[in-house]
Amino acid sequence: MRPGAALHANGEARMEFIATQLVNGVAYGVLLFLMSAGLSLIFGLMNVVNIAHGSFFMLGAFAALSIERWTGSFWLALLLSWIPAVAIGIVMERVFIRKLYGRGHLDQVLLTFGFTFVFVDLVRWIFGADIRELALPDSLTGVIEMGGIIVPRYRLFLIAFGGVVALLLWLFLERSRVGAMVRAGVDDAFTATGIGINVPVLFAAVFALGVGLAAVGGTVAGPILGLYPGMDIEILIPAFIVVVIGGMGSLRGAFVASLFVGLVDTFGKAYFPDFALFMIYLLMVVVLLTRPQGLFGVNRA
Amino acid sequence: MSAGARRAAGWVLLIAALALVPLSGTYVTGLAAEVLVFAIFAMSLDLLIGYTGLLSFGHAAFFGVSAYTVVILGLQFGLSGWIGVAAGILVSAVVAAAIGFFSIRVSGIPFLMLTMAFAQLLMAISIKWRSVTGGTDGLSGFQRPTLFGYSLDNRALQFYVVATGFLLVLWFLRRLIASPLGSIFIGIRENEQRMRAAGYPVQRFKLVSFTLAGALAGVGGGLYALQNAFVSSDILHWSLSGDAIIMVILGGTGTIVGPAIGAGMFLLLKNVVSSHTEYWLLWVGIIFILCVMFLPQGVWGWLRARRFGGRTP
Repeated sequence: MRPGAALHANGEARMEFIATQLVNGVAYGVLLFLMSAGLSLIFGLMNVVNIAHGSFFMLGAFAALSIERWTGSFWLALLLSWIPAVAIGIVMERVFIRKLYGRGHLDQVLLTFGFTFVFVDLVRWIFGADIRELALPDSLTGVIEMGGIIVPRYRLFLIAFGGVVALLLWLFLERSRVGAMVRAGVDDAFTATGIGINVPVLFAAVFALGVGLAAVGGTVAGPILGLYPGMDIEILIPAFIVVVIGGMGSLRGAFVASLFVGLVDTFGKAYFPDFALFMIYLLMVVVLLTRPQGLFGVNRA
Repeated sequence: MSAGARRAAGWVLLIAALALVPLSGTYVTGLAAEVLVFAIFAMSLDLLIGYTGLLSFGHAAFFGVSAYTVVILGLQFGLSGWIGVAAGILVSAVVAAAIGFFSIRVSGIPFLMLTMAFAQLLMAISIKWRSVTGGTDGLSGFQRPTLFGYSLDNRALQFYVVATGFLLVLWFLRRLIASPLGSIFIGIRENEQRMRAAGYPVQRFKLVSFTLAGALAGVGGGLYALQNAFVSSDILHWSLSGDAIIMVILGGTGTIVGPAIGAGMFLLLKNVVSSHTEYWLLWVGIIFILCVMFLPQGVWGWLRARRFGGRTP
């Protein structure tokens, strides 16, 4: 096949091209992490594969759009946009998913699958089907020159933001009391109940946390990916691939695999545009066949 | 009435009803043919979900591969659609055997993901291999075959061909489930460990079930190609696999007839509701959620349980 045109450019331009792809890949990895962290925790703790997780990404983005339109502030949108998604998520968990805990996780998959239709059409109904844009404040637009390489300011913000969220999440899980309960629940929910952990409340809390992370992910994705009904599925599939590769229930796996998939996808699209889509699915197939529990997952068999 | 007589009466009624459909005009006939094509597709998936306990999220692969085979053989080699359908079913079976060979090594959620990934791989190929598949634009210009000198461009004839395929698949599945092989599938669904302990090579039977389901989906895909004379990469998209799951769940898993009814409900919703509102998927979603929550045995399963007092006929 014909290699990407960039390969023919001179060395300096090539370096710049690679650096740009690197920044884009890591930024995309951050978005994948915000999605897959919750997806992975929810599965690890509750054994629920939340197919509607992408819907919360979309709901977060559109909530941010509304807030920005009312207040004119991106920062306020970032601060508040997770609230409607979390409220809807809690209702969904308490009213619907909880009823099916006794029924095996395939029914829960089907249930959350049904919700994706409802959410996408509600968004289409309220906001229309056109691609919308989340505007950035002046402080986040434009580019920064770093060692001769031009980097969009917002991508850098996104990477830093993702790093901070990952750190906070890690501190919460590893250092806090609630985090210890979550880890205990992931390891063995049955014993966790036995030692007095209130599992139903814990489930609701983790579901809300995961949904909130997805909504924040949708908000920060808004300025670069655009907002449209269908963005839910667009992010859901790669996020699933991340969780499969990283291992269901493993935060570390979600983090490493997010960056990995983000980079593979971005570089793949730049250098092998004909095979990028193919590569990602092939990666998923290979991991599922050789390590169905994922690279960092625990074998539950 | 004895069970045998009741069954015979059921078949006669069904055949008579299908025979009369083309009297209702071209629109209804076309819609009915579409329903039957997807009924075949959904029934074939029920063999996996309802009878073998395998939730596949990539069943569109086999439907799509068969449809592509029919159209590509027709366009590239000028082969008749009849040969195309036979080849399509064969290709679907081979692809299903290959995908099944890998997928049945895992179960539960990884199985679901793996089947989806394989189907998406095929879709990626169909999007990128434009010279053969036409990519997202698809392939048009397929000439429908003739039957007894009449072209299949005739709507009524199309319907009768599809209906014949539907009846054959329905008959085949009912025989299959009643056979010892069907009992083994159900045994795997009920308790895989027990079947293994009893000495059944469970993996081999799962592969048989997966391959058969793929071939039957290929029947649906081939008829789809004859009916539409068009195919594009959308036919391999995972949302089509998702639609088939919805049909199976709405109608009732493990009932054979249920998924056919589910296909009818789904396509009626799509066609009737979408003429009133463009948000028909919202209603599909709501009905599907309610069905999963409160009617897990599906519409047909529920009706049957009432009619026969919970006994399986």
